[in-house]
Amino acid sequence: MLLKQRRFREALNKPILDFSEHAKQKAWFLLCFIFNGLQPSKMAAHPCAAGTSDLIRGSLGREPDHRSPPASRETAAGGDRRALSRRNTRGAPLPQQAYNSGIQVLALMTDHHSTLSRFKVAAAAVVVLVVVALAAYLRHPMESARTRLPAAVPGLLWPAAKTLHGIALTDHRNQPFDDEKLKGKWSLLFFGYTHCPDVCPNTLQMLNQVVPKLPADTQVVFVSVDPQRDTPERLAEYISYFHPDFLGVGGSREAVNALTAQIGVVNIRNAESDTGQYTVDHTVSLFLVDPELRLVGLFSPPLAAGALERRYRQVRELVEREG
Amino acid sequence: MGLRRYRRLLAVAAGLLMAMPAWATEVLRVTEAWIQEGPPSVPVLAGYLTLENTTNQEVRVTRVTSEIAERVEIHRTEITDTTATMRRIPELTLMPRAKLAFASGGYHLMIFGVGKPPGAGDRVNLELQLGSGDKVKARAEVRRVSAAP
Repeated sequence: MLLKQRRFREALNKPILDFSEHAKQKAWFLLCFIFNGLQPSKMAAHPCAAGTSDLIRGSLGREPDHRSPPASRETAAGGDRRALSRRNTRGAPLPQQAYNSGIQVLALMTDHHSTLSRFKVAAAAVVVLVVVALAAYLRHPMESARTRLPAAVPGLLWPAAKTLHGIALTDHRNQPFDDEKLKGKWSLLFFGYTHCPDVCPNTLQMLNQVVPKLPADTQVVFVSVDPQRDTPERLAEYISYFHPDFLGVGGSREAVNALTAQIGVVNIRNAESDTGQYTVDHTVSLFLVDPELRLVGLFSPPLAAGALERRYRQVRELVEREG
Repeated sequence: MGLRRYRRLLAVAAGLLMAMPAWATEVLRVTEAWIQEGPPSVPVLAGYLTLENTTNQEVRVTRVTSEIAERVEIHRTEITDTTATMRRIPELTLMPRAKLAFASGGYHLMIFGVGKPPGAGDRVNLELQLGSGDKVKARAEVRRVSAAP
């Protein structure tokens, strides 16, 4: 699992335009060129040439789909990310333009100097290749900065974000916790229960470390998935232990389930043991909800304070910039 | 004169007697025992320790008890995909020479029915019962949770 996630992250950090592949395509073109009897006029219309530009496009539009996302929820956003990166690459890749002009140059050279040796033409082809590669390389950082970001933000659910609605819970101060309480703020939701002594306290403690570093309009909401035991009083004692501003919310089983179902949070109460204790299986990811109640981010374990802060900022900046 | 004659033998016997308890506990070495301070009124605490089987035989931990709790169980948190599940481990078997570190998100002690919750800095006695009937004592320090930075 850990390994899978690390691979996923690494894959996301890789530039979308893969240069080794690009170079391979160029070499392939060169081979086609030589074997076609050095007739660039034929070359331009040759399937090899057409194929190459398709390959370039394919390479630019390459997708994280086959990079095994760690959670099905993250896959859900895949389709829109694909659309997004396509849109960003539509501005005709420079490598292709340079490539086309390269063919024209070669055509000119061979027309006017038909006595040129094959070696010289091949050398010229190499020069053109270098120029094309250089142009592509120079173009690359700018291109990638624009195209890479949306796909490279881990846990981004936007723009396929769901909008939360109909929340009818109660907070630890016995105040209603409804849709209004999420409006105008960025909320980090965490689902757990007070009888969970291992994962829940550690996550809340980690949030306690992260929250001072996040923008002030960020609220942490601990949603109890154990309505039977977690009364507002118990939640008050529990949540205040971690941070005075954290909210602990709970409610009837129906109200809690309505929210967990909307988000896709696992919430399974296990059978009681002979001593009357029971545990609840629950999702341990954090969910980021924007001021318009859109579920824009999902941060899955393993979560460390530094990484969470970074991922929160990436998602938030992108959503704020792109609307 | 007679005593003098057996002095060496007595010394060896005394040495052996003194070494025996250490011997027994050394079957299972318990280190880094600590209990996570809980929020007030939460009657369940989590404890962590590192167990090391120093023998060439399997060692079973059949029961854990503590003076502060009604009951102590060994649990394991399993995070599958993104969902945490806690499973009770009725009996823990350590393979020869195996070392097992309890940690958040993995093996931990569930300390139930804590009357008066201990505060950070307190020390709590734990006792582990082995399959052989031997008992191993450990002293756990109570600490406030600290997540990885």
